[in-house]
Amino acid sequence: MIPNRLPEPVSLHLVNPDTGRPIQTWLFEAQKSVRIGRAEGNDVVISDPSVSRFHAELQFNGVEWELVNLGKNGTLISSHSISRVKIDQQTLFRLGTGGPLLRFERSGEAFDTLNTVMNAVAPPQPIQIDECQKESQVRAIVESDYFQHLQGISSKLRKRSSESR
Amino acid sequence: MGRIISIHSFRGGTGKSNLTASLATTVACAGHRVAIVDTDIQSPGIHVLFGIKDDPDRRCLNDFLWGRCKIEDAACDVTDALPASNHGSPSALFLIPSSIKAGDIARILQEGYEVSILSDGFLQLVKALALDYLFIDTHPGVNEETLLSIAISDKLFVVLRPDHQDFQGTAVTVELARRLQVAEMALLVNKIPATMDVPGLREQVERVYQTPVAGMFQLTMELVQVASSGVFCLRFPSHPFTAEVQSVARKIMR
Repeated sequence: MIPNRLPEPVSLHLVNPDTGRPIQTWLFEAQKSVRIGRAEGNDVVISDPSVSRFHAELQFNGVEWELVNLGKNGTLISSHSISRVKIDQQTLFRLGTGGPLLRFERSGEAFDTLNTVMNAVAPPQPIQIDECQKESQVRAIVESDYFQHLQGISSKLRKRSSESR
Repeated sequence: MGRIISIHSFRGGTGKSNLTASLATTVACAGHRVAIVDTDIQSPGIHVLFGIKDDPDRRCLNDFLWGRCKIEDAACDVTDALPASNHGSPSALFLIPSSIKAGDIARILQEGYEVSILSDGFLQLVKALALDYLFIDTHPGVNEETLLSIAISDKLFVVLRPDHQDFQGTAVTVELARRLQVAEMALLVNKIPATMDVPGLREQVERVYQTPVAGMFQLTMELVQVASSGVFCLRFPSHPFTAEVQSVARKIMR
């Protein structure tokens, strides 16, 4: 007899391929199937030219989760196209070659980035402005005939612009 | 509405043209009539993003500046570049390109032109094409055209990279824009390395320039790979870069 228990909560993350960080997350509780595609009506709707209207489905068979491809562009795990495959506690898959990257997770597992090196966050370079140099450059421009002329007419220009609409 | 939006940067290579194309396209997709003018007469480039090739019969901004045609005659209708779902809607997108012919560029640099013609042209364009938004893609740096664009704009975006080569010049540009009493100004920080602390960078930029940051764009390999062969946000509608473009576009349309 096939076990008919309900699945534990699972999450699906749309992942930024450069940083490994989630862009969007969907949570599903006690749901035996999760449909993914471009069309409204899917549980996960992703608007992307690589994604078919009905592209893939996560199915819980009573024991474990399987990923099923439905789309013509294919569903890939580690660059290999799949048709139906059992998936682990954490699985990365892509909708079409070069398409959106998704990460499936069972509940209770914290989202981890793809690459621990990517976790490192570098502080930005300090922005230092040479105020004397800035004032000197600004003054040279502001004292020009053209800038003086423009300052004089800028309010008229903007007024004309708003009147002409 | 006819709002004029200028996108400017002190240095070249900040990604200004890509951002202009993406922002204008996104606003058009929201159901608006939008035009982009490429005023970077010295090194025009935004036409490449829309696949516009050299055509001897096509008018361009140079022809308008030389008095050969009305500015609206130089407008290319690129509405077909928008997704199919926009076709038949009020959305419209036009591009007024600058000439890519070396001779034309050399001539206009040598002879110059009356810059005030540009401001008349912008207003005429808004009227003739019934525009909701006119985006001006400016030449990098401070010159008469860029100052004019700043002076006439309803909103100015200054694009910079988190790079020392951009910091000082951006400070000059922001100060000049204040002196010209630009109505609204915001910064767009582009090409941010993936490992950089984005919130920390935003806080620092806003503090140093005393100007709000409207968008923070991370350097993305997909954009490098597209290599300006198309408008990025149309190719990658779900990408984080596109999400940030949409966020900035919402601020424009507010």
